Amino acid sequence: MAHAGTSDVPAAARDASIVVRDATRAATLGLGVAALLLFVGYPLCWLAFGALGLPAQFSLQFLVRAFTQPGNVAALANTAILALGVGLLSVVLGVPVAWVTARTDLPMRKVFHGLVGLAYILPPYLTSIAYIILLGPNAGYLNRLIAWAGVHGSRINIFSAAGVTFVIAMHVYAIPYFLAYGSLQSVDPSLEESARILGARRWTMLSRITLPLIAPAITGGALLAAINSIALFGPQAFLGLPAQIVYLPTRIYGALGAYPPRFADASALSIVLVLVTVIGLFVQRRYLGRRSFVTVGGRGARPAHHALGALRWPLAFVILVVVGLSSIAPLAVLVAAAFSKVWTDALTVNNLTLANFSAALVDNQIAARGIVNSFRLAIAAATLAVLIGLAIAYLDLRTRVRGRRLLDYLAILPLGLPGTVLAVALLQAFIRFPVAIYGTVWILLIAYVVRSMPIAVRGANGALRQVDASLEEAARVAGASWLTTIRRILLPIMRSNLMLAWLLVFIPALGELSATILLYTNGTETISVAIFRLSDLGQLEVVAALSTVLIAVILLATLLTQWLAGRSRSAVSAEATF
Amino acid sequence: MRKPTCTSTDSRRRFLGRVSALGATCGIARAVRPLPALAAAASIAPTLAANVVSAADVAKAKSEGNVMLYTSLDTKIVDAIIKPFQEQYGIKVQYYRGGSADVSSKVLAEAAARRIQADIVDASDVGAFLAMKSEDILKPYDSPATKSVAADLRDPDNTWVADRLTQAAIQWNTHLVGSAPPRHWKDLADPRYAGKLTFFSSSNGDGGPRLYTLALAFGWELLEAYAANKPLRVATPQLVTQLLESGERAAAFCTNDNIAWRSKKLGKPTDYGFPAEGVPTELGAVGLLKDAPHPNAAMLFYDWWMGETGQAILVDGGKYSSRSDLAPPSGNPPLKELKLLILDYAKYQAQRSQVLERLTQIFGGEWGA
Amino acid sequence: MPHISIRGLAKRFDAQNAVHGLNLDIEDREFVTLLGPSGCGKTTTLRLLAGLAAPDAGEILIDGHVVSSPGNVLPPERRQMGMVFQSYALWPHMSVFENVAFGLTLNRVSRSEVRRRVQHALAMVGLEGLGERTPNALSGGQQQRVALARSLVTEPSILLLDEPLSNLDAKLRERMRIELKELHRRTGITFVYVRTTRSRRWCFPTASPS
Repeated sequence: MAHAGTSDVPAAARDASIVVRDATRAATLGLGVAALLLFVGYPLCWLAFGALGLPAQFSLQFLVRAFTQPGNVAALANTAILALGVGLLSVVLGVPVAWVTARTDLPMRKVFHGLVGLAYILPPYLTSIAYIILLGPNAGYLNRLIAWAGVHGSRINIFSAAGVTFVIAMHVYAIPYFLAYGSLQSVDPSLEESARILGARRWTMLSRITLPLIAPAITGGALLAAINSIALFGPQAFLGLPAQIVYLPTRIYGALGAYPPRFADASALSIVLVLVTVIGLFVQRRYLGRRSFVTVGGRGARPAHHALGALRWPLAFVILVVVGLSSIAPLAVLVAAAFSKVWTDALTVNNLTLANFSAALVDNQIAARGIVNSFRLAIAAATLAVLIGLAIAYLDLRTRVRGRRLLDYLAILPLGLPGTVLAVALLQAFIRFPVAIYGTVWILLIAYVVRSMPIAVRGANGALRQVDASLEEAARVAGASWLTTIRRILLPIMRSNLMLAWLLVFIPALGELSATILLYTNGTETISVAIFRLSDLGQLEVVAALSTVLIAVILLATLLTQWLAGRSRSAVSAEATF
Repeated sequence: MRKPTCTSTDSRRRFLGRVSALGATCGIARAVRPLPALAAAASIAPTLAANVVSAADVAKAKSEGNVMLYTSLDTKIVDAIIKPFQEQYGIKVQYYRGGSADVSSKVLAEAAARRIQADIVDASDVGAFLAMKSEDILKPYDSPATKSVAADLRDPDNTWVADRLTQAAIQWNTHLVGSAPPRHWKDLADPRYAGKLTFFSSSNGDGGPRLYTLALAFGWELLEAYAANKPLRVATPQLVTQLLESGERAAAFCTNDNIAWRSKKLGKPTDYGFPAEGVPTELGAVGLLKDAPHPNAAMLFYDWWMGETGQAILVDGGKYSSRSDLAPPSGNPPLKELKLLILDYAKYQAQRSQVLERLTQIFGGEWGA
Repeated sequence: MPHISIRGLAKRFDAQNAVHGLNLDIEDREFVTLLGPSGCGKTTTLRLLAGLAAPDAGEILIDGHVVSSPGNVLPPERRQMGMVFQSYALWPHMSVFENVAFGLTLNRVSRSEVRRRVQHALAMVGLEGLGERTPNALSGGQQQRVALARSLVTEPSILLLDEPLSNLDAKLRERMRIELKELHRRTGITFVYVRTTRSRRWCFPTASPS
């Protein structure tokens, strides 16, 4: 089968498809790099300075304390265990479900696909509260159900390390799922067909051909899920604190909450998180090495679907339970509370009301404005992040510029940092800027771009890996400039994977809370700020109502985006025909 | 402790609409929606406007046209306080709302960079104001509107004054504990509450001050006894109430009185009380900034905020005002009937890490020590 | 003057010499085959000719003009060559017609002209009527011919072919070889053709008239 990496040209030569001197290319890629350095590198420098005690006084004591104080060591251990647990659980859940929905004839595939997306849409700080209602050891609905079903002595306690891991995994498993799903759909069928012809059974083919082929998606997804779990402070605070489990972000939050805030300690602890991220990425890159994972090489066939036979419906049931747990259960809790007068009463006709929605939307000054702001910020940030990510990925995979690997590391660093830390770093970095950035919408945009960068870069990298460089080379030889090649060849081929990366950062951006809280200003409130303010009152019903609106809005936006993307694909081909 | 005359068991299961009918018979005249009286107060505000006492130059304030407020107060209350002010003076009030720590973070960062954007600051943690005072960014102002605020509720140099008081109350679930509710702090130390208690403090130790107050007044053994009952510690006071509402836990110590007030008001199966032997109180405070971009408008708004109208709106939201001449939130005992235990904040600041260390030892977990 | 002139060409990858001191003149309308086993530097030479890589030493001249020298390379899109890749590199999101028409659409050629030339190119390779198919619906031989048509439609003066027949079965390969020679004769394009042999004898490129 014609495949890149054959013939007498060493891999190094094939990687560098295009000659160094190309002004447009240099300018475009340079712009991406500059953006990355300004938005991510510069604030992280402030964090590093802060960890060294600057600008007050240089000192190594904070870093030393960060690594040696027993409380910090324990927190680091807990955090590492959490990350590993989440990474593992996400892959174990996400990849098989991805394979089953992408490559088999399982009934209701599209529904499951949507439900996984829903799990990603539900912000973890909301699902934590919902899970307390579901699995609180004494009064949780599911626990009561278990007791009523006669199974005594087994109460599930959501206030535990397992609980934190579970709730976070139930959100981030969507990442390895979607990456694996996209990857599986692009695999060249002949790669598997040749194995089948050689006599490989389904299991052998899976483990020795398919899975290794989508290794970047799996390992990349695991890495992203694991590191992302560190930054998800909501479940750690709501579920871990009651269980006396201390994580590093909890320690950081403690340092930032002192009067005056202990910025140096917080920065030093954040550096520890940064190191964890770096180690994670190093391990993943090491494992992937220089192997080629090109699967889009010139034939656009879709891979075959397997028939599941008798397993169809039992498997569908199992997946429904898993996927249902993650998305439907917490959503049901929120929706039920949203429509209740008193959420602790049974959901009878007497208890139903729309007053919560009116309190959340109509009476609420900033709800409508918040939705608009959230959308603008999320769309702009996701687009910027994916474009920058594409530039970085292109630099990494298509050129031999020195130090390009460092950019990959830089881009992923924000992933493990809690939003609060990022916000503080951005605040320090930009408050003294000659141009007014602090106190405007721009600092929020930067924060969102920074938070989106890791997934955007990894997503673009994984997508670009799958495309053979010869496709671009052929266009260049046929007379197309670099920019035209990108526009008419590369981007259309990568469209669906780029769209996926876009959605993966767009969705969390719509619900971003922890960084926004510190950086927003009058006029730039987002919908999450509105929810945060509502939660002051301690009225779960109204909070649930606004949360339901937020989730519905994100869901609509996601569906709309996918529909538009599907439509414009045919539009692009129409444009190219004569 | 004095109970409200209208029993909560009646109103608990009714439609909110019916609460008003009941309320009329019980002498609590309130309408349907959450925080209903805010609308009522806003509509009567203009007639009281003439009573606003202020030392600010109104003409200068109006020409400045804008005030920027940083606050950690519930935004529903903030909106209700702002609306009549804007109507009265035509001065626009914009605000940033975050947690206490967020507010002080922002103000201190802005001050350090000499980019102060806030005119007036309100935060529910006096520690924030002590920090700001020590950075010398607060403007002393002895407002005529604060005459009725007691001396122990304000900074002696007038850089800040308490605007609201949050009392640490005992709250319980009426289904689980209703027959013999806990009335005193030591009731909750009883073994029958083992595994049934909850309280809050987030990992930055914001639940520390009130617990420390209890320890100073009644001894650290009280806290140790609580800890022996294995209370569930959660991150926010709203979560405490949520756990009590659902029956996940039966009772809570040191819960926020305004949250307990609202929960009961809205018909949830909870009730609360203020122990007669003493109630830890936490001050929320307000202050002006030295380098404020709109100093005159800020002063005018400050006087409005602390004035009768502004503070009355606060009370309607369920909070106790620091002004001794105002009524308490409906159904609550008046301030002078409560034995308030006020913390010496300066002393607490000095000993903060030791106190938090000790709390960590007693209760475990992260206290920001 | 030779059509293509290669002088002292050298290229290394990671301390390994892929091409070392190559000198070669190719006349106009010649059919040159670069033979040799894997790792010999043939494809690297081809890529240097196309402008897809930059030489470390030496020069490449086309019609007397220097197009490649260390640090100074005329971009591929300005060389007006054609190239058939070993993997064919057909663009999966475009139809056969669109694949072939691509080079023309870059030059503001009128639609009717494009249609005419594409049909002509497809006819030249024996693929009339398959314009609306997508690459994945074609057999290997058909794909190869689409790649060929695509490279011919812009009427280049030089055609580079990187082992274009290695993925075809023996019978098809033989037939295609004859057709290529026929094409060369008819169009008068200078062909530079890379082919792998197992023989270690041919370790440098050799010019052999077809």
